[in-house]
Amino acid sequence: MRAAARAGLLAATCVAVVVSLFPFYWMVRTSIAPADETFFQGIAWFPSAVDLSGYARAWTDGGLGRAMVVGLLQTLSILALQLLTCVPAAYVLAKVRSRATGIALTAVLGCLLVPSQVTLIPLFIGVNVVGWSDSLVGLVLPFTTSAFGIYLIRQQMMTIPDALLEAARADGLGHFRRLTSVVIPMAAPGIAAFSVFSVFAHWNEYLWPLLISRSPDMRTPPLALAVFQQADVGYDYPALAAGAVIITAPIVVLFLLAQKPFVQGMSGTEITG
Amino acid sequence: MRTRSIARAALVASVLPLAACASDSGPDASTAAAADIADCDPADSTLTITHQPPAAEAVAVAVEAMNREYPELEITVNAVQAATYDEFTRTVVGDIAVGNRPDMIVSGLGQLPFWVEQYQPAPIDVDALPATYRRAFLTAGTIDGDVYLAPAQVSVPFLAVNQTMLDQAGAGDAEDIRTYDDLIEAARKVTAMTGQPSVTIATHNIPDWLSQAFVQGAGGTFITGDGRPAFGDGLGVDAISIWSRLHAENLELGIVQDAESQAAFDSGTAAFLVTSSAGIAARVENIGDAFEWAAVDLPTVNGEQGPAPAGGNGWIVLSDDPCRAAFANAALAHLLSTDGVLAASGTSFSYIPVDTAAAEELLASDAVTQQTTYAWSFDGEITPWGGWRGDATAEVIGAFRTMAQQLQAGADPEQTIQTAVTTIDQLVAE
Amino acid sequence: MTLPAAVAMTVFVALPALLSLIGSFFEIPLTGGAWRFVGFGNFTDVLSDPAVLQAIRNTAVYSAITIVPSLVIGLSLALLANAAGRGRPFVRTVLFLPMTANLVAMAVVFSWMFSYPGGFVNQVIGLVGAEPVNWLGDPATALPVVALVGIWRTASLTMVIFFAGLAAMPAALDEAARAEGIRGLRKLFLVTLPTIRPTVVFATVLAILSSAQVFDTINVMTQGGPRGSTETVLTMTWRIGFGYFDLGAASALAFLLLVVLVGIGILQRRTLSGWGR
Repeated sequence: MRAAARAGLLAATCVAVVVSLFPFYWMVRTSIAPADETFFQGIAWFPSAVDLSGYARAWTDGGLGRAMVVGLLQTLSILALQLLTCVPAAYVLAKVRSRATGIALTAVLGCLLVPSQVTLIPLFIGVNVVGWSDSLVGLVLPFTTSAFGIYLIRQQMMTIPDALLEAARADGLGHFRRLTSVVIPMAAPGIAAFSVFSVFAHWNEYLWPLLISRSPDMRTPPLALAVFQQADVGYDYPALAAGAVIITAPIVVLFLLAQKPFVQGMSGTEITG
Repeated sequence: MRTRSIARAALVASVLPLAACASDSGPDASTAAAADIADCDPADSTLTITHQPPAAEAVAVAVEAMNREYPELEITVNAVQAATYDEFTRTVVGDIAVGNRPDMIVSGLGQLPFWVEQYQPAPIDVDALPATYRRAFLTAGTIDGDVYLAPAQVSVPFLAVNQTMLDQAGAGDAEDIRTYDDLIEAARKVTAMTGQPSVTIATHNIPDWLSQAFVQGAGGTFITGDGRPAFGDGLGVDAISIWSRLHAENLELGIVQDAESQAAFDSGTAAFLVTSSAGIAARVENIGDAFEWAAVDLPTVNGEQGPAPAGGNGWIVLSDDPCRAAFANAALAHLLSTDGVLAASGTSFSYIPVDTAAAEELLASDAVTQQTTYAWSFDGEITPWGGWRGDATAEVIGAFRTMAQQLQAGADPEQTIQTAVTTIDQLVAE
Repeated sequence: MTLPAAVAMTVFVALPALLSLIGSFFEIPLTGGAWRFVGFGNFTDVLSDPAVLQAIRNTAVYSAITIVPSLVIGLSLALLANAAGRGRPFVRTVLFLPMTANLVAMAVVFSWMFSYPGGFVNQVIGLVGAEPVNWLGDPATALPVVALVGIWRTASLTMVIFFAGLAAMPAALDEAARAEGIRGLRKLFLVTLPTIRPTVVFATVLAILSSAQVFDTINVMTQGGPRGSTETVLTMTWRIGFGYFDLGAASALAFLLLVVLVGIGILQRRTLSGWGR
């Protein structure tokens, strides 16, 4: 019985692992297979030959090098702005009890529910009127703050004992000092977790850059892939897959490096294993 | 100008940008006729070119030539990373709505009425086009006798046939397929051999274009002179019902997405593919030596060879300033010069060259194959694509998509096509 | 200290949303021309359009077939990853991976896998003698397939959240349950789930949000087709606004979705704001 249960568990784990990984594998496989093997080759687990020309086209025709730099600047700028706005706000919402913060919290939760498409058109028009289209500012600014970030970081800060803050206050520390010397260090895992979320979301963001960026110099990584998906001319599958691999790789690496603090931040506790 | 920018600043300050733009982008920004370029100072003017990826090479050629000719002219190139002409239109409309009106854009030929009706572009200076430009193609950019668009990269629908599979099935020669009956007979043999449907005609991206090609190819009328649907007659129904005829005998794969349908052909699953000649180069690249194949004219219901609707894209001048319009026309001459066309139709593409010298050069190049020759030497008669009322274009295409997908799934042709006629008639009449 | 966030939230979320609401009472031709007040005209127009009604139905179906499986699978995966022995870090890492995927790129990969007639999935079902299925070309299967991609991604997200919630469970609780002889499903329902209730609520809200706002995968895989079978409220909003250039009607539809989401949010507000206390 125990053995059967364990075997079942093992089988379920294997299935889950395969299902999670398979699309990634298929992406890599397509990126290195000759063009005529993209589709319908039966269950060919491995391509018959390795053809890396897709990577060369992705890098040169897709301008991925430049796009990755733009993507990095955009992602990091957004992250910096979001941390600057979210952390203090989260602190107030977590540790200052008043009618006003209650209302503010409701407002944050409300904003969390606003689908991006609702705000897309007014934002697009606003950014253009101010003249920030096709610029890093235009790519970054609408994401200055994040309701999700405030919410997530606030949850982490809720776990900080009030007594600790009281002690800091007794020592004569103002809100700002309490925030920097007590709250931020203790909420670091939550802040890290949100940072990972933010980087994932904005590195992969498609719609907003599509509306904002114009010149080849302002392409973000997902936009660079559009060159290989021309409806009129036909798709370049190996280059598309190679491009997908190139833009996914940094995120996966980041994730491998950051997953421990990430999970810790989500749970607010040390994890083992 | 000054009061306008102050007003704009005030509105931004009062955080009502949305209202600002809607009232600002109206008819006051209508198009200007081109001035005499000799009266224009390049240092005082600018030129903004907005295009999408397939035009990139030609734009590079033209910008270089313009920089040489008018070193002081400030040229801005916006390369929109759109995958389809619709997506591109959407982006440019957004740009114009907020006051960033480009001087020239590359438009899908099917979108021409939309641009002409909504943004009143200036007619193109036809005399300024190079002598070797194939003026017959201007038909595809003409509305009510005025040329608003100069075709740059032209394509027509064609039939791709896997000759290797035909030989194996003893189904004859690709070149002999002239009618639907020929196609069906050959397809039956291939399907009997492989045990699965052998034809693929995708219905997602260009159902309206293919329908037009089927009807016009048979000598029928697709759209009336005043933009009403005319394909509801017997010939039109017979021509468009190709999907249901193939479905009835289980000969059509039923693939909806164009890229997937092309892949079915490239991989040797489907022996017959109806698609755009723009994709011939991609087929050559993907198929390599895997099998023999041929590009032939679309078969028609009665064997007639009527004019094809021109696909692809061309340039529209949208300038709202006479001097910028003049420079746009000058740039156009470079875009459509032999060098520009060689870049646009070049060996990595398979657009029909709009320049005779470029066509000759391409046909003499190493990249020439039976299939690319089909595109590069195309000499048939063409007509504009569609011609539906501009602001209904997207919805009309939607109606065609619904019709084609119903037929592809085996719906009754007469009823389905009449429903489409009624729907489209209402859309264009509104 | 909340000022920067408050200003940013007002300018970039609340104000645009408000403008959208105002816009939904006007006819706004994006291609130029003046606004025209139409009252509730846009709302009655969209709600009487069969294509929009189909999109609303599709969104409901999509949500129904993604939310619950995403949560159940996410929880199972979290329990599985927790139970894994020596391979635990590896299993955990792998199961988190779908969350990192670029949906635009991944949707392309899924279209290849589900392509007809010879895509990977059809090859696999061919092994057991099944006929190939036109997954993305048949209105009956297109929405479930798109939903499958949604589950693949969202389950990974909810799993992270559940995993974190489980990790935060006091070890003493585990021991107490063992001492009482409570294990298996009884333990899950009697001990684990009640303890991580706020986590469950949070995961549920995220799953609802990501389902109701599905866009990228549909835009790449089916563009709403075939025959409108995968059109959702947001793809429809996009089509009306930027395909038909009718911003007023698009705003009206987007706003209806917002009302529903905020409604769900209000129902969950108490639990949400209390989580972590």
